[in-house]
Amino acid sequence: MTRAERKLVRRLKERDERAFSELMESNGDRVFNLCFRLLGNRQEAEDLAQDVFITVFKKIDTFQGDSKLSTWIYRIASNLSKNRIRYLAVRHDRSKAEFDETVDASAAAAALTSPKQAKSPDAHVEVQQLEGIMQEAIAELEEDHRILIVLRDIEELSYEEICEITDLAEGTVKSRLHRARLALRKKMMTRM
Amino acid sequence: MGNEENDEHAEETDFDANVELFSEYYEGSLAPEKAKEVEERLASEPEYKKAYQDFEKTMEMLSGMHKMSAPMDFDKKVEDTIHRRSGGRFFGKRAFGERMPYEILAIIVMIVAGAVYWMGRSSTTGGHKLNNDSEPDIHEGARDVVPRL
Repeated sequence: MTRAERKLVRRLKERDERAFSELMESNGDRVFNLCFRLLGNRQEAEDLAQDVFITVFKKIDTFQGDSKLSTWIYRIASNLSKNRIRYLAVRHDRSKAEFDETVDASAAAAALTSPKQAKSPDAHVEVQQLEGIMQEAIAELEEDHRILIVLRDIEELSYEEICEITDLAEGTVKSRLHRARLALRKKMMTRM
Repeated sequence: MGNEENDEHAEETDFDANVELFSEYYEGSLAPEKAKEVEERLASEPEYKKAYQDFEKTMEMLSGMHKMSAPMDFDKKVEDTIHRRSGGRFFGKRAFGERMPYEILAIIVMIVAGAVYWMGRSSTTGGHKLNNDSEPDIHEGARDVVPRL
């Protein structure tokens, strides 16, 4: 943990409202993105991300500083998302009808400006479609696989961080991730 | 028939086992001799090469997915929820200056200072206003030495 992070944690533990705002500002988008990629639905992602921060604020006194604050937040997000995925599965809320394929204008613009993406309007539409297909495929993965794919291949976290978040040994993370990627590849191939 | 199935299964297992190396090969963490093995197969086996290309494409699509931003009012919603659930007791008490924007605070201070000054000037009892209309009290014995205004 950096010195600035330690200071922020101390202020969070003192219930300094400005510190909470700073935390939200620096982690809000990342947590929301994680939730969205795990659930595939904007509204569900927003609800989950809210729960994540509320839990962070409630449990901040238990944070020992053994890991980075962001890793600890991801850990909370990962645990809460598991519960939500199970809940949604029971509610049959993962139907395609409710799947949120919408990509807002700014996000689409971001996709277009990515060096990996083409820049013509047709390519723009294709990028959106492919992303929608990919999101659907991710949503069909097993819960553990889904979390590993999102943490490693979308959020680009290190194996060390993923081990801390998931409480799994590195070998287990790697082997499960391989299987998750292969499962995802199969799902993508059937869709394209 | 049984042997054929076994052979097929063995081939599939072998193929899958090698496909398992794709992740490490893609991440560049495969041991050099294993990496060489994969490269040789990629060069000589079209099916294997196709499987790797599919894998690579999937990985590129994953890493190319754009980052979603939280809704504009997300921070406020979380803060409001915390305030609502805790009845406003969650966050520590803040100084008045922290709750009030400094610009408003400065205006209030100026208004209060102006009001105090105005009250002081207009007060009939102990005010600071000079009363030039009334003559100052002069002791009887000093009247002849104090010049009249």
